[in-house]
Amino acid sequence: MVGVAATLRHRDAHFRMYHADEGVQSYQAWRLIEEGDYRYDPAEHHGPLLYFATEWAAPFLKDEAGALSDASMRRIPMAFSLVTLLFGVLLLRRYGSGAALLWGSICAIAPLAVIYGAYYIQESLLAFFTLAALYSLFRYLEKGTWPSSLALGSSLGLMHVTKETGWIHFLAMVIAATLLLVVSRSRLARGVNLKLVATHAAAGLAIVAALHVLFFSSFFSHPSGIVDGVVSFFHYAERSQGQGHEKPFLFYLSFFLPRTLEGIAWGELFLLMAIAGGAGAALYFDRKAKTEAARFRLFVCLFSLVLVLLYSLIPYKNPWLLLTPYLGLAYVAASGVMRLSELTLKGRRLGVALATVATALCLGELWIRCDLAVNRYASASRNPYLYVHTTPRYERLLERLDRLERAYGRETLALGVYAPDGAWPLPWHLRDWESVGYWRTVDERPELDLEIFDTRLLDAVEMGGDDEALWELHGLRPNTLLALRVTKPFDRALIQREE
Amino acid sequence: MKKKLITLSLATALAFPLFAEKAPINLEFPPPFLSGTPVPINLPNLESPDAPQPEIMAPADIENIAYEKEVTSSDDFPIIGELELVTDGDKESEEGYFVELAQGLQWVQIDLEEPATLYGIGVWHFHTQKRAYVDMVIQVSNDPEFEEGVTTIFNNDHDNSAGFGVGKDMAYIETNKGKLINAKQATGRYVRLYSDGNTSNEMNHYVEVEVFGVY
Repeated sequence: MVGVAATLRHRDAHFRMYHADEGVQSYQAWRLIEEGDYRYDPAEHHGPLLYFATEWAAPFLKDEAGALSDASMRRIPMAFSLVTLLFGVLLLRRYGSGAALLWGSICAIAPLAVIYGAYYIQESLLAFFTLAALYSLFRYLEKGTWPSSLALGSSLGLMHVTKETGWIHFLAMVIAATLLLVVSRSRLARGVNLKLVATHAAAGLAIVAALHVLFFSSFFSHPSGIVDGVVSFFHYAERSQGQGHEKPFLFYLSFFLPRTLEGIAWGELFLLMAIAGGAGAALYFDRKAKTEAARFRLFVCLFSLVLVLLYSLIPYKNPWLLLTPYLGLAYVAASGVMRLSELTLKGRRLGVALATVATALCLGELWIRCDLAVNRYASASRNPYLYVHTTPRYERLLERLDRLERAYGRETLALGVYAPDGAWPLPWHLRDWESVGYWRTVDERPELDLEIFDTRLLDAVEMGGDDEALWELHGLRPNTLLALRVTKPFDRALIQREE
Repeated sequence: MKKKLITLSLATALAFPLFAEKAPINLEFPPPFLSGTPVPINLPNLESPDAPQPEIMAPADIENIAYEKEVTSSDDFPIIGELELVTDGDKESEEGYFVELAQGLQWVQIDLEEPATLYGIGVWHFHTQKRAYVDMVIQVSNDPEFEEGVTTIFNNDHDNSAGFGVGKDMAYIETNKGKLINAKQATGRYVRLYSDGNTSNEMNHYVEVEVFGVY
């Protein structure tokens, strides 16, 4: 299972273009690795852990020439994704081996888990720490011990230094825990030592605070980051209103519903049916059950549904935010399918056959979608799992620049990039170029031998009337094109001569 | 003496720049600025920002002689849609209205059934997204194999990657208005349109092709 998951994620890293956000994150990590400097920005780019984790792992990411690459950067989220899968299955076994294995199988091949399990952003790390916190919180509700409280504090602290949305995850956990205490008979519900709980909570919060100070101050090199780490919540509260990323309330549900995009069928209907069945069973049967396994199923179900609800209520939406709730919903689905196996009819084990069919349908549908999303349409705008993704033809632009570089040498070429949003991930891919500059407008254009324009800054008349240069259009993202302008004689390197 | 001093001073001052050490002008290259997740750009009614369509003079009663004519292709089994969509008269870009051919250099060919004098060709590749089609070459011939008597009426293959020679026509961004191309009164029975993917992906698409000519 882990082997299949690793293969899909590794293969995915080769087929899928680098996203603009991956470029931005990689650039910051690269600067930390190369220059040893990182300062937390409260207005943008999330928590510091991803960059430091990359710096610590840098010796394992660099090739023989000491260079980083798109594929090597993606090893960081990939590692967290695989560890989530491995430890998840091992921990979930105590509540039912069948459900644990099916959960692992779903997470191994589900397109959303595969894509964002190998995507150089914070989401894969956040999912791992969230599931660790969720398990720790449940164990604390059951046992109320020091180890579980310290594990919860550590997980929560790591969520916090990974991404600010970790607190939305924690809020969902608290709501789920409250509901669980109301309807079930966990240890805390039967009477607690409030003083001890307060001591545990204080210790957990102390760990969170310590991690906050360490990471947001860049290990004491930028003390202002300690305050910035708190100020950032005001920025993100404002951003949650959408800022161009507003989506309808049912956006996350739409991933499961059948639909076609540019002629290709998508949807995870069988998994949605399994989720609905599993959630129904957990909410109806497990609230009455008195086993730890039943309480765990109910807790995960409540957490997942509340988290999806919270994310759906926030106007700002994009596919990768669904990763953590998706992993929770996958367990709800797996539990629901396994519950089918307990059904009997006139003494016959009818349920085993039903569960087998349901498993085959869920995994079969996910496998088909995964092949489309990860392989055939790995960077396509018709892939619903992607968001404002870099188009496949962006690679052609990189190839053209590489060709020019090989023909004339990097020291000969001066490149200007004119784009209102930086044309990411281009700066990441041009990080080793010395004579490259970035401008938001064409107002101060120095007219260099090589220029790349976001076509929003141009009109076709300008391109058409230029006899002194060769122009090429290249895709960057859906509805965003770049125009490469190459002055003579450099354009000769691009024109193919007939033999 | 005073005059001599002033003259010497002026001469020295004027000559100084000629002997001063020269250095190359160092251009400032601003570093990249970090930005957030790009905001999706939706263009439901993609309007052309481009130059206006060319004015082509043609007989007043000229018609689209490609309407419902037979279409063949280098890709016999399109990934999406049917070849008939190329000449069915529908110019919508939504699902069900376009044909998608495989990646690489591909062509569609319209059989006008008889040789005709062509004045203009209208092309709609795909217009629900801002994109430009690469290595777009349009040829006319009486030879269905396009081995003899071939006239090229449009070629934006600026780097000769398609192998038909370097094209001087400009690439353009697709819109719902399509692209009207001057056929320069070329004569032929067959019209062949090449492309090698687009700026969004490697696939080739056609919503509609109209051929304005007279038999």
